[in-house]
Amino acid sequence: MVVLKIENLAFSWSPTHATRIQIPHFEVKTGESVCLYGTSGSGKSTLLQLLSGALLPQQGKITVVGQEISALSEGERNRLRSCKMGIIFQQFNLVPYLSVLDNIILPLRFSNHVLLRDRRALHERVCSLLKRLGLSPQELLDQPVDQLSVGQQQRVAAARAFVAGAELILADEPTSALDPDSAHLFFDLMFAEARSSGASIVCVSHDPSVRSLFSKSVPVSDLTCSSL
Amino acid sequence: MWNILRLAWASMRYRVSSVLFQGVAITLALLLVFSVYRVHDCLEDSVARALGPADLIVAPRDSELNIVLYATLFVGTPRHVLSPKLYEQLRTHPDLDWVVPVSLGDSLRGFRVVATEPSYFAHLGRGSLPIVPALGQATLQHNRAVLGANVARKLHLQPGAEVVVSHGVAEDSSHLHDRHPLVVEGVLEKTLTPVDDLVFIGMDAQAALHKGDDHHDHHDHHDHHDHHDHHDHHHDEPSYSAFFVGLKDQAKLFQLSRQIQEQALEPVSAAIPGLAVKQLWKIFGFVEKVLFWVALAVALVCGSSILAFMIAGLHQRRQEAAVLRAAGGALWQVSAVFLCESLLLGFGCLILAWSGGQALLLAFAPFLEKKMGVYLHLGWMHHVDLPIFLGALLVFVLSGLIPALMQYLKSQRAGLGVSS
Repeated sequence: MVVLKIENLAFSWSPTHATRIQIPHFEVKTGESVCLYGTSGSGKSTLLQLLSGALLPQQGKITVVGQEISALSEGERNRLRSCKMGIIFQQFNLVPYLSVLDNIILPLRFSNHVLLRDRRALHERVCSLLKRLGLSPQELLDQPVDQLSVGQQQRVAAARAFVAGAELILADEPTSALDPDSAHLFFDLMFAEARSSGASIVCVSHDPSVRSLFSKSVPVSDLTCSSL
Repeated sequence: MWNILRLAWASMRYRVSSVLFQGVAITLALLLVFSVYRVHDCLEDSVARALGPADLIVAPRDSELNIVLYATLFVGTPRHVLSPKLYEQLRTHPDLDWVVPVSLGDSLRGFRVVATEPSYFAHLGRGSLPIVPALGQATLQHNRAVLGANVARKLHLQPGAEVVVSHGVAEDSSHLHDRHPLVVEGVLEKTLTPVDDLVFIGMDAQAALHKGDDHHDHHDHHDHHDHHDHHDHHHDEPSYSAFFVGLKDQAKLFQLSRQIQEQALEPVSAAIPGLAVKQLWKIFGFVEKVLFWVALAVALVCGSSILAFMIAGLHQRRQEAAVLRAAGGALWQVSAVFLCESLLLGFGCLILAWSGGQALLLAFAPFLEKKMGVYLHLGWMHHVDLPIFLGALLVFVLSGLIPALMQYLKSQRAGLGVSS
């Protein structure tokens, strides 16, 4: 099954902007993990934003879990993002004034998820998720987020990405602030979680050492030229 | 909606110290606006009450304002006196309902002494209510004195006490009418008007005081003296400073004022207290304008302080906005969090300032009443409260909307990006 499909995509910030994205065709299948890499300014992050529906392409179609993003309303796109996608940024992934728990369940709140009505089930889900990501719920849940280490923050962000049962995880250099060991650990845990939940991963990274961890790694330049 | 409020609240709690300081500044500013308007209005009200119910005040020719100032507010003293003949002329005037004479010029340890007739208490109370003694009685016969409430309290005098009135109105007047001690016969109930600070004696008592003082060399006390030095007046005949007049027909007010001025036996002015006070407020009208501009400036300062605070925050908070968007928050929801924070802060300060103002007034009302004779009405809503409320809310909404809108456009342009 195809989770993500791009057809004849064209986007530019403005006619004079250096970054131009043109992707004739690209697909990600269920369970796949794709690493996109390329030089800075090649449009990796912009591409992720297009995939998330926060930006809309000028041309072409992006289809995520069967829904064509451009055809959706703003509200439907927001809902798709909160229910079907998980997004992990490079850093500062957490809202500083919310607790760890509240940060993790943000997507549930925005989609008014049924889990919110069952506090115990919710708590259970968050705790098991945190445990699978190598974090201790007892220690973390009530801590202010600014007392977490960067590694912990990124894993909490991963927990948020997975909490609503996302089918597509979009990660923008999630480990660039981590040392190599922590970076590998982070990816291991994320892949494990993705495998067990059946989610696909599209990750942008310029760290060559992590490419081998993905089932597929594609240079962005290839995408652009693969008009063949 | 619940999400937005929850987020706004959490965000404010996170920044509690800066929110608190900002809140204090805004609350104080609003408090200033609320109380300044209240006190201003109360002052006007107090003066209007102090004027009493006389329709006209007939006094030696002078400006209306001067007459009202010395005859009702007891500020300054008249320069001339009126004779009993004029009193008779007024008393027999067919259009006048009542005439109350007063004679000023003496004092009791700093409090002004008003020589008058008992009809003063009947006609010059609050509205149609007479002034009644809280203790003793108020007949003003012979050597009796009646004290205003404040006089009795401050000088610790009770009915039956003996007092010595001094000549002139200066507090340290050394020229005592000590040959004619007066007996306190009553203490008036509190009226919250200048009456509370007056000592009343009868016209004959005053005449007796000054008759007995004939042997004094008045020139020694020139500064303290008001009317007696400047005129060779006969002490056996009472002299009057002013007459309070009530009309039978209010419609003839202006006509009678003119008529009395033209036909009186002596050069007099017939002042209309209401008009004179309007004159007074016209003189001080700029105060009101200044207050208005101060209030406006304060509101703008409050608004721009919120605005500056939020806009400064936008840059730091772009990552937070991106995270909220990534988690499925709509553009409007993220902006609404920002708007909500401004509104919560503004509204909180507004409520706090208003209730704080009420509390302050409650706490200080007795003090102001006692010290300054300013009577504060403590209604729940003052008539300027609503405009202030609405004006402040408008400022807060605007100062919240601007950063919210900026945030909206920013997020729309940048997607989830944080770089631009």
